[in-house]
Amino acid sequence: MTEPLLAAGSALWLGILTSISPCPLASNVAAVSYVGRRVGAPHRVVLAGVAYSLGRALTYVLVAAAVVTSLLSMPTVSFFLQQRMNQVLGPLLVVAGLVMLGWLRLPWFQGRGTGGLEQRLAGAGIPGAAGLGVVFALSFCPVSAGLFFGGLLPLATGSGSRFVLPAIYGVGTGLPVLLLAALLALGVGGIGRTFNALARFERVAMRVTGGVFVLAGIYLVLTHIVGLSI
Amino acid sequence: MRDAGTGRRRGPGRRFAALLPTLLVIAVGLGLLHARSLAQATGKETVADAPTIMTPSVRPHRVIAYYFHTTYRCASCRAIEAYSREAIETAFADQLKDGRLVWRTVNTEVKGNEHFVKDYNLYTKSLVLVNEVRGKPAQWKNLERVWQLLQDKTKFLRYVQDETRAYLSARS
Repeated sequence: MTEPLLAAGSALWLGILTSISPCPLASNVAAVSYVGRRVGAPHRVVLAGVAYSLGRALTYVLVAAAVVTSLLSMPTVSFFLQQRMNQVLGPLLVVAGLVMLGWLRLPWFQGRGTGGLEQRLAGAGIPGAAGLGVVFALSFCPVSAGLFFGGLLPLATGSGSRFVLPAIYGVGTGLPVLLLAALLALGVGGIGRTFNALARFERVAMRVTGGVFVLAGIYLVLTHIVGLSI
Repeated sequence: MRDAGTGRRRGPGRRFAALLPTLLVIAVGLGLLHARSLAQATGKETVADAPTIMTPSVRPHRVIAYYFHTTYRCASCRAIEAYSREAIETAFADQLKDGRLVWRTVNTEVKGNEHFVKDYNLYTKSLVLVNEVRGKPAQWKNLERVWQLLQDKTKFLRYVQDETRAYLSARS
């Protein structure tokens, strides 16, 4: 009974270790600002945080499945996700941030369905947070690759829990984001209610989210495409 | 064409103006990619990143401590390299001097070094101990726990020193 619990605790700890290292800081900050932007509705922020963590968990389960069943080789998967995903993620975040700020309009998205892309991106809510979790988890950095492939997978295969432990690891990687977002929502929400200025807070939060996305994207572009050491 | 929001007719000039920021983002992206390829073409790699040449061993048995990295180097990766180097240089100065132990840093993205990824099944920046017998790698170990011990320098140094000591004593 204690062995599975120990393995689950180790998987969770590996996930937390991954998320608190400086390497995924840019995506963590972007995730906190996105998940916590609905400051007026703390329950929605918490749900978005849970969805973000589950999105991450799903990604790690799928990557583990691909490697454990030898569908793909570990070095190939790891280096592809570390190099290519971050190169894609940088420009994607810049564009998404500019759209959220309303500084960039993508004409081919206008007029389809209800509202423009910026409204849909900003209002994507819980499914959007889950999607963000999937995308951010896919963009591995050296720390997550080291801890996932070198720590988590041997633990998962050794304990015969090939898919549950990667899922727990995924939740662990999203845990600090969830906690920070909840604290942010409760704190700012409280101040907002005190001063009866929630609508203004939410507008500011939306702008901040767009700005953070652009900055995080620029950081990833500079480090992973231009090749600067920052 | 009519604007979806206002219902007013949009001319080619307005459509171009709407597209301008998008084109700007694409242009900046292409410019950055070009800058990267130029930087690679001018060869700004350092001597430490040059392909590793396997020279014949001075000793029939020796241990090589490889730190493998890529061109992109994160803060944690630099810390692992620094701690590993410190662990080895402080505990094995004599062995480093007489050639029983060798420290090498290798960029696996530099042409000629790609084979290391396959040779040692690398999946990220790694510290690998290789037991070399008559110039050929006979046994190797990826010290995977370096990522888990990064937050505790004392444990990190002890782990690297214990593993290196075990390799040296088994083969020297």
